Amino acid sequence: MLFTSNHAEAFQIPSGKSALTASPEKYYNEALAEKDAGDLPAASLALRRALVLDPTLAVAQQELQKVLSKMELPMESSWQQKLASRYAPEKITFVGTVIGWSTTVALIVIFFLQILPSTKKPKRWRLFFLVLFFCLVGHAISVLGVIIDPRLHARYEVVLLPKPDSKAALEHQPDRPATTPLRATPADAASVLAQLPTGSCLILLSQHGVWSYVRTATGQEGWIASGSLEFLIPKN
Amino acid sequence: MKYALLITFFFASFCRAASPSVNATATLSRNRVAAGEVVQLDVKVTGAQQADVPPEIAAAGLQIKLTGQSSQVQMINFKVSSSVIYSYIVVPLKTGNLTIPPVTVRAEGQILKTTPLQLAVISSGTAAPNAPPQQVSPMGPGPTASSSRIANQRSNNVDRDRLGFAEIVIPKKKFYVGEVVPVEIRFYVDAHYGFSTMGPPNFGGEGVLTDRFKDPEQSREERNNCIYTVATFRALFAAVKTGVLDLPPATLDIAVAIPEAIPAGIDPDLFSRLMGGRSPLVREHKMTLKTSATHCEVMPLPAEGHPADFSGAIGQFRLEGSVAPQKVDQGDPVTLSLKLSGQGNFQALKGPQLKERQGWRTYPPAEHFEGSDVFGWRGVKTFDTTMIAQQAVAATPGSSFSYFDPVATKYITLTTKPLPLEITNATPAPTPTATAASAAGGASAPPSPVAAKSITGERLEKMTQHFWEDPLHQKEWVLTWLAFFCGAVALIGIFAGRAYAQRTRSPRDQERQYFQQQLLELEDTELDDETFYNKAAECAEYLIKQDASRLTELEEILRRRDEVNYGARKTFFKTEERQRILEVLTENREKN
Repeated sequence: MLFTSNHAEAFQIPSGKSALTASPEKYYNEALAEKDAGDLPAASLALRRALVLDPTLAVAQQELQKVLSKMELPMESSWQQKLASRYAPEKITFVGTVIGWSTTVALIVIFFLQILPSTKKPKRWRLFFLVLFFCLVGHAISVLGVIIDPRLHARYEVVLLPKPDSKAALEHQPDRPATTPLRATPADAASVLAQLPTGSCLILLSQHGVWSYVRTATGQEGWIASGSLEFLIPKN
Repeated sequence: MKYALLITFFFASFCRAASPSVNATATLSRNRVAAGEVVQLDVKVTGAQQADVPPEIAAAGLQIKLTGQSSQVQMINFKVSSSVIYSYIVVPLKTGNLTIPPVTVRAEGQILKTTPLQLAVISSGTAAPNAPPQQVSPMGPGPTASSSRIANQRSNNVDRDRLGFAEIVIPKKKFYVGEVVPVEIRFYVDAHYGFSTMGPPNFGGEGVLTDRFKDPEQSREERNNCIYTVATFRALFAAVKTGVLDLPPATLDIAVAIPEAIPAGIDPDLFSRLMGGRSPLVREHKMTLKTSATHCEVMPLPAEGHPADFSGAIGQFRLEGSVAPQKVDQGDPVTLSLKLSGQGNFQALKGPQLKERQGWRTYPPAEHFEGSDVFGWRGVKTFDTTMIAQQAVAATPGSSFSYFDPVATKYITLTTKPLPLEITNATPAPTPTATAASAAGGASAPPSPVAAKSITGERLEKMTQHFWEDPLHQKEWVLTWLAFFCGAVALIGIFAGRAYAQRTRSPRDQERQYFQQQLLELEDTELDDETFYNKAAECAEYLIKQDASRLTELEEILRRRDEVNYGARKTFFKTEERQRILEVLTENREKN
């Protein structure tokens, strides 16, 4: 959410392939602008989006860590994120695919051309098993690349970003509520299970009208107003 | 033959087992009744599925009529047993000790007699204290001509004062302010009558905080020779002020279903059958069950030895701590789990306090309670605190928790030691000297590895475009994968087709292909003489087999092969000869 004209002009949504592609650098720049404007939750959302697009963007990782520290929120880290931050998942998937399929073709040729007709030539068997090994490793690498890709999970992830109240918005103040209640049932009067800090990353389990059923990082599940959530992958 | 004998033996033994001895027994539902009440007499015939019994039994001062029968067949360990029960309704016509004579039963060709039974009939104004309860409930779906009669009788004899009562169980009458005490309230209702509760029990009073009552536990209990249905409600309560505490009686509103008398002139058996075997008429009787009042003494917590971190925990607790993971990078969160187990006021419990938190950023703990009893009085409460190391630290903070033990009547403080863990890629903790140097504008300390590689804060100029969709959802990736997959399948298909065609070719075709292959190999000039003539001879033999008239023309090749293989001296062959043989074979192939 941008509040000043400077921020708005700094980051325009790319045209053309806008629905399919986006620039992580643009989101990073947007995050810096939001941070300058004092809207740390919005900055954290932009940084998370930058890292979804390019998990190897080191500056975005460092900036997100700083922003979350200021917001007193823990930085989520899993082995997938750690691996993806070092090796681009897309590259891993591509390399695995090339190795896997090329060795698959080689295996087919070896098998049908009867290059290994007898046990008299052990070298050929060694070759067969070597190719088989690379075939399995290649496909495993491509699957690993897909698994660690943050985009695979990001479609179900939302960031808690409640809108500032109307008065603050009119005054271009990016003050958002510090916390939002997580409720036991989808009703304003329902009992409050927890107060979730703004900027928290949640998993969206289902959506029913103006209420969304979410799971927090600690595994707690409950209802939250849909209007206070922003999808990690923007819905164009 | 052997198997036939075995099978015969098996069936013989089975039939033998299936026809046990027949006997008959008689039992009374009650052996002591008030005048005007009825009892049920059951004649059970075991070992038979059918028996002849008298429809009426003549007895002095009693009217005994057959009302129905039920049968049962059981098979346990291939042993079949059957029984049939004939139910009689016994109506006393006078008071005194009356005798039910032996009942004569004819079953499986045998004549059996039951033992005589005694029935004490007392005047209706006298209670029957030692009388066992009726087994037939007026609310139940029982058989039920007799039960309807009994219900009819019961409706006239309901002692509303004996329908139910209540008791309260509080384990101790002297406790501390804020201490939670389990309370158990039992409501007893005569088991002969169905009942339903009309809301939760009312319990408590001024100066008492009561937890919500859990769903009641239902059981049966005998009191004063009467079976009662017991609804037990449990909860925790705590006193909030000191002094004498007068707890008013706990009450529960219930509705008891009492069978109504059948109007005169209507046959109760017929009425019961029309109602599907259930008690014909039932009336709801609302009543309130009440316990006695309870007096307790609430003591104040002692002021002596009051720890600074005491937050109102009263009970008996144990504290354990653990941390996971034990090896992390700086900036990664770790979770310090502090488990408080024991018994006490878990609901109002605040977590242990962390000590020596320098170098850590901590967040409010997540609480989780697992009760080990129905009250929630005993159990384990876990406080998971997420923490992030801000600098090189070797251990987590320690923790302390203070509570008041009402048994030991003193405050106790539990502590956990700092738990060791390893922080990797850590930024060294800032030293006072470095800070001073920096403040004075002098040479600053060398930047940390994290700071050195950090170029954050500057806007990026070079823009790249990335897909929002992951490979599994990208059309291009999916198509590429499919193309590879289809290519592999096509390759397998081509090769498999070729292999199949090769295998299914006729022997003649296979021979021809072999001949063509040999002929091709003969063109290799590097073949030695022996191999060349062997292959040439094979080709010649194939051609002769195809057409015997070629024998003369090709015989020379066979002769030369033999000469090479079996000749005693070394023969030299000219290249021209090999060329000529090849030409002859090629010509003949074309003729073929």
